[in-house]
Amino acid sequence: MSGFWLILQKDLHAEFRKPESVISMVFFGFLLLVILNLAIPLGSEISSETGAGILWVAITFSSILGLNRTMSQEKENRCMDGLLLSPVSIEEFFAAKMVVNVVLMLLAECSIVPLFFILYGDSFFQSLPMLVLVVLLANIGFAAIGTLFSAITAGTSRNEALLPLLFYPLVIPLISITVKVTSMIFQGAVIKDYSSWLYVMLAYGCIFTGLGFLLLGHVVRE
Amino acid sequence: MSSELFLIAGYMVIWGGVFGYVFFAARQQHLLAARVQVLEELIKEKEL
Amino acid sequence: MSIKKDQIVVIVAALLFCSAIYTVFVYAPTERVMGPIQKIFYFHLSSALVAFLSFFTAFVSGVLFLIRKDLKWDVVGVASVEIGLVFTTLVLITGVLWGRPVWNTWWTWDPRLTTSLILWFIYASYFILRSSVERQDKRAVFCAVLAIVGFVDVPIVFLSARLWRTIHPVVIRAGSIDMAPAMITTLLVSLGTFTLLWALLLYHRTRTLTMAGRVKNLEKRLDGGIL
Repeated sequence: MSGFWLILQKDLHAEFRKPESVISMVFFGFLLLVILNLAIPLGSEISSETGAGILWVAITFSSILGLNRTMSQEKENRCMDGLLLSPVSIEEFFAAKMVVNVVLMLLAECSIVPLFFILYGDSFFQSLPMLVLVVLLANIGFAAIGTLFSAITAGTSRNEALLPLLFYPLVIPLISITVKVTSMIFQGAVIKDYSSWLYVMLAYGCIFTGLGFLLLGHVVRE
Repeated sequence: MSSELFLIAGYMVIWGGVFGYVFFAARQQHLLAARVQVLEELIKEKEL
Repeated sequence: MSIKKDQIVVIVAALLFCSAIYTVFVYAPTERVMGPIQKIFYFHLSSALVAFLSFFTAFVSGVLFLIRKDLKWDVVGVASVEIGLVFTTLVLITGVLWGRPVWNTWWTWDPRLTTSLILWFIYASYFILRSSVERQDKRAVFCAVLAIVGFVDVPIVFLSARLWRTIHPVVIRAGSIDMAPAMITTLLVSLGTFTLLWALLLYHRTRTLTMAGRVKNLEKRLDGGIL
């Protein structure tokens, strides 16, 4: 698994030196949280479903910025050709890129979620532990599809503008489940009520990670 | 009564859609055949 | 298939289509609760069947393309996604027209309708992807991947579509509609007709698109002065 660690280290190191992706993700996420505030009538209590919707719109829309970069940066200076020639296997490559995406999304969420709590009411704080689990499960699904499809869009002429158009239709089910579960967490529901949906989220992540392993090779070799 | 109107509208849409699509397919096929003819002549000219 | 056999099949399909219309409007009894609007159900469900068959074919041809790398399967894939998209559009429109008089609202977040809508988005993006890749083999691989991932997404889309609204309007399920024997016959005739129509469309679209690809290649070679 050394190839995996090398790519992971390389990408995280680059991000650490010049945190372009994370900064743009966080900035965009903050912007969305503020803009979506316009949809709420002044001085009214927001429902847990509205809150969950706003939080996930901010997270999913900002994550697209990070997803776009992980693959397109390999296209610059034909780094991808070098990677293909190196002894790193496609599976390791996919796993590394996916983990990088999950880490980037987690880093962005570390500031988006607290800001959400500040802007939309602090009564939500008791829900934090379960929210972390939901965020993790959702990130795996998003990163799996995002990694595969950012590899595809990096090979097209339209490039970064194309990813959202392919990405969102495919992750709509994951987003809708995540929003539902998050709103139940905000309401203080017991785990038993939504545990079956957590399994669906986990299954979603596993299925598309598996598909990514199977299909990325075909995509990258083109 | 208006329920019948919706029924008629629904079937109009289905027939319109199916026939429109068939028409589109036929037209594309037709244009292609014409294009093939032109290309064949071009190739013949080059061969001569 | 020779041209003669081709024409026979087309005529048979046209006749079947007419008989399907006849059974729907004359032979099938009018449903007691919903009234005549229920008759939209036969072609609505048949369109949905065609759409599903198309997306399944696109999935299979996507897999076959990735294994064999034969561009033939790419063409089958495009043809079936195209047909599927047309019929999903029909499903959505007829669904809306059915829902209006029965539920008194244009759109309900019924799982089936929601699923069709999301599928429409997924497969519409297939054509956006297609239009933004120039090279043929690369385009074929990308589209095959999207067709595979899209189809795997279908059951999850359906599962999650139940969540879109917590309070559902009264959902009319196909199984719970009181189906008289004449209605079942009518439904089977429509389903059969649409399946034949689907096979015919798929065959002809595949042929046309194969030809279009060849013409394009020929044009390129003529321009390049190879011929």
